[in-house]
Amino acid sequence: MELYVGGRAQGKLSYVQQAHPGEQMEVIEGSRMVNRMETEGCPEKNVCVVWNQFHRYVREHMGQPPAQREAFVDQVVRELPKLCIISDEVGNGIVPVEAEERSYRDEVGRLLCRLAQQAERMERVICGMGQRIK
Amino acid sequence: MMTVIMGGSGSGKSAYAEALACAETAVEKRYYVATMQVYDAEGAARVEKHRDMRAGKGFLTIEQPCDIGDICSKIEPKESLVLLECMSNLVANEMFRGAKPKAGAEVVADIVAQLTMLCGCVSHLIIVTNNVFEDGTLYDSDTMNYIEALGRMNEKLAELADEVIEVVYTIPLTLQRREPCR
Repeated sequence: MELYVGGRAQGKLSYVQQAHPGEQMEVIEGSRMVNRMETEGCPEKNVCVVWNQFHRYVREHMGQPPAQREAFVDQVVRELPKLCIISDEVGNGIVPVEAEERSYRDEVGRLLCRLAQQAERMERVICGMGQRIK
Repeated sequence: MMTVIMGGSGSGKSAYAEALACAETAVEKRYYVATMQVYDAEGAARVEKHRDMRAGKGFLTIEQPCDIGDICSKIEPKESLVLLECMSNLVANEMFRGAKPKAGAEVVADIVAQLTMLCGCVSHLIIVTNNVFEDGTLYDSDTMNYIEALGRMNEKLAELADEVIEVVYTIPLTLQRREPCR
């Protein structure tokens, strides 16, 4: 699995597409991954699945207990052998006043820390350019 | 020796700083200096989580929300390591401790003076600081002044530090490394 993080609107998806020339790709946005895993089965082995807007999946599933999100993310990583995960960086700001916003940021961070540990490759994308950090 | 660890919320910077502190085997004592003030249950839970993370790692905890220089008199200075967590709370606590917020420049100068003193009495000072600078939001003037002060503070820290490491979701990136002169 490859992990790409960076600020909003930094050209992360285009960067990932350019970094995999000639590969067949399927882009799945945020929470759509839940449906994708439940109903559509695994893609062909040679298809690279891009899970875009990972942070949106987290935001839309904050009602679940953390273990459930963790299990789902683990399942995606396990079952999709060619996987790129793209997430906005959301932790580099003032601690929000609202409790839900604070726990959302913490949870995106927690899950991305776990993914970073498992990733074979990790890049930070800024201005459409990638900086390989793992 | 001074090391600065910076990162955003949930970046894994605390875990990294603790691992770094534990890897320092030459020191006789390891102190964890907590600057966070607890106001509510969430704050208490956060402290609890960090306490659990440190459990069994041989840290002596000191709560020091303000006046960081006072640490010198609370530790056995010989061959000790101090892990200060974190600068973002310390700057806020110093800035907003009185009835009226203190000027950022004054807060920074004051903390820098105390840190220099602290650095002189320990063998390794590790400071955790926060990246709060990239959300693009316009806040009230107190918060804007605070962001400005923490930005200046981080610049000063980088000037003083032998090593500056940014942690991006557990991955350490070295921003600066100098040969220690002590």
